[in-house]
Amino acid sequence: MNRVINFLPGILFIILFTITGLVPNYGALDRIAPQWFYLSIINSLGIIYVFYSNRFDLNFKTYLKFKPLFLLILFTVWSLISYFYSINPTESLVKFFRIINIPVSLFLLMVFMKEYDLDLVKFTSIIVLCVLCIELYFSYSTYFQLTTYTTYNFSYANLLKGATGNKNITSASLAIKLPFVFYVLSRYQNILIKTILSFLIFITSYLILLLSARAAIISLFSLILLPLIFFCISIIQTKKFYKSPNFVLNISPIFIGLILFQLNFGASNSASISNRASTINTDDTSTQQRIRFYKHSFNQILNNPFVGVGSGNWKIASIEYDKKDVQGYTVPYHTHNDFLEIGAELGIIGLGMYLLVFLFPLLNILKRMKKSFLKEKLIFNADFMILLAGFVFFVDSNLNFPHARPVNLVPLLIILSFLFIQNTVKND
Amino acid sequence: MIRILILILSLGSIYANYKVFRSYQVQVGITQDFNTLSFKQENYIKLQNLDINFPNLTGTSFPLYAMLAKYQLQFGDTYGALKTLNENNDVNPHLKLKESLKAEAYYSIGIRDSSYYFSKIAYENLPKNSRHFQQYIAELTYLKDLDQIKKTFKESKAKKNSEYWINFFAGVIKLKSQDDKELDSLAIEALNKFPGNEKIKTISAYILFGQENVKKSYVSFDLGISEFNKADYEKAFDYFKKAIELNTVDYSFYENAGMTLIKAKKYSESLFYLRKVIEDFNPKTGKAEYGLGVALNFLEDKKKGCEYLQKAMELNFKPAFMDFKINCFN
Repeated sequence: MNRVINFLPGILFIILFTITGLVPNYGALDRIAPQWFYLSIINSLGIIYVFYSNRFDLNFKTYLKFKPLFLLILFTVWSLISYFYSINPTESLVKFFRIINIPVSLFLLMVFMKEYDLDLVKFTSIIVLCVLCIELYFSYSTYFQLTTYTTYNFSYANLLKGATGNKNITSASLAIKLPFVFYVLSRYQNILIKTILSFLIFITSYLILLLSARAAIISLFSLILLPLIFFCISIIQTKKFYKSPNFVLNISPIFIGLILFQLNFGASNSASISNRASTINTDDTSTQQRIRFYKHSFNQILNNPFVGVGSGNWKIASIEYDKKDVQGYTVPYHTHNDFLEIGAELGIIGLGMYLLVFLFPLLNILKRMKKSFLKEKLIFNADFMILLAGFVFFVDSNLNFPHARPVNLVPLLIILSFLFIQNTVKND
Repeated sequence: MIRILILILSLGSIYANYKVFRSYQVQVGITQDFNTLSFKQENYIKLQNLDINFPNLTGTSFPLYAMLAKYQLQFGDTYGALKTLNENNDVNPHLKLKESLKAEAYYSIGIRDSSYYFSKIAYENLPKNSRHFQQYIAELTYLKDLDQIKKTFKESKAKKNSEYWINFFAGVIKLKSQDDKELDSLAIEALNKFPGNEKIKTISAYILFGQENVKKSYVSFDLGISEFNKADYEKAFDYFKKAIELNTVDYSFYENAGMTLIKAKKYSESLFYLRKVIEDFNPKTGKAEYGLGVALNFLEDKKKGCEYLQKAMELNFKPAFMDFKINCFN
């Protein structure tokens, strides 16, 4: 009983943190407002518990050695400094009080993962899967209602947004959770559980295709290609062909999803993959708009490389760049590329810090993979899950704006905490 | 020390994010009011009680003080609005909402030189904003500067938007001289560009035929309808024909003239009016196609008549289904 009471706060924190994306909008204009508010509450409670409970031997230096946390702290401080040169300093402050929750959440996850001698990687992944099931339920219930009245096509995609604000966010949120399913599937030996998880991969992939968000479709293809590439490399390295049931159980449901989707939605339907792929060209209005936004932010970085326009101020500065094309008062709120937006807001120093948050873990994992499983059989272990989920987030960062939305940041922080625990375990 | 700092920042984050959350709740009604241009008292009161300094922008980047000023203007507090606009720092200077609202405020109290000054700034900085365009055109109209209005319109890159054409025509309509062929050709261009747009149809007709004639044409059209309902088809046709003479750009005049001639059993004469609808306007209502189908069937050109009835059915013009069944099934 004592053991349960000891672990309960940490487990509760992980559950509450993982479900952040399910927090509804509570009558607000955008659900990011209640979600950041919610995150700040659970973080503060977590901080109070961790700091004032005798359970934890907090050595900040140990945690700060983990480079992504250190860089996220630096990034947050750098964004606060931008208060002094921003066009609208209040907006920088609003943004600061949001993004401060990123390192705080990561720190708390790291503390709980490190201090509890439980398999929290598997536990957290299962919680992520539960959230995924809820998200699927929201979207599929609408889909089945809709298809009783009409044939589904791309114009209905936004109706399937489910628990998030729009279809792009939903599909990104689904895509980043697939590596978690891969991981959990490979951790179980029970055939029934494996089959259920395979089915989960199938319905998730199918929903991503229904949502037809281009960034998520790219992510979905990369979730087939990356394991395939690593599988081939491992065959070349080991110089022998081997059977990998996990590879088949993880990847084939995506293939089946693709085939069934193509069969259900022929080339004539606007939701078909070929039709959505054909819109990725320079004639498409959305593509043209994004290219324009990229150019504007790139010019801003060139014009003002060191300090930028200030944290949270790109939506203000971008109007000046885009003024000949702004219709009504609809401003380029986000660049649709996090790296360019951060570069424009915080200069190359801020951009460098943010980029390194991704680069260090990537090098870290590749180094470990080089040492281990690339010379052996391909296994869907925690490292591989981190790599795949990180890649999905990276794709999304290049085409959308996940840095602004807690629902997209939660999986990123979870995989970073997994990486920390993997490093700690390996070092121990 | 680090612990206390982290704790303070975390608690600060709760407070800051709570304020943003509360503001976002109030912004739902405000944004709706702004989009529909129907400003509700309850949202005005909520906004008055909201801290507009943190956050100072809405979720759509509008300065909150400017929103407050807009409500003040709507509820008749023009000087309060000007005070709000002058006292607050421009937290989103490139949007030029402040200038646009100042132009609105000065317009409403009749200080037109200031209104012109601010509307010009707003328009030049955000030229694709139809509100800015409308305000600037209104001021140029007041100054009777037709050349500048034309120049502004020609330079505008937002001509895909019908609102720009409507605002432009509304501005020039009183300044237009009878021999201004340039405006006539622009009116025809607008009609071709936005074929189904009723506002464009009316205002272009005003430009081409004058307001008086257009109004008379609709009076005549209404009289035609009333005679048609009394089954006096000869009289009805005369009224529709008169409407066409006064205003040639409304397809419904031709459509009704054609249908009236069918009722009067003048099938050959009806063809001209019904073909004119399809060839010159093509509104795709199915009514003209139906009329042609009926007339041609009576004129013993069954093949073409049935083709037109089929077209009318494709356009879902209900009466065509019955006529097709009667005339075309064998």
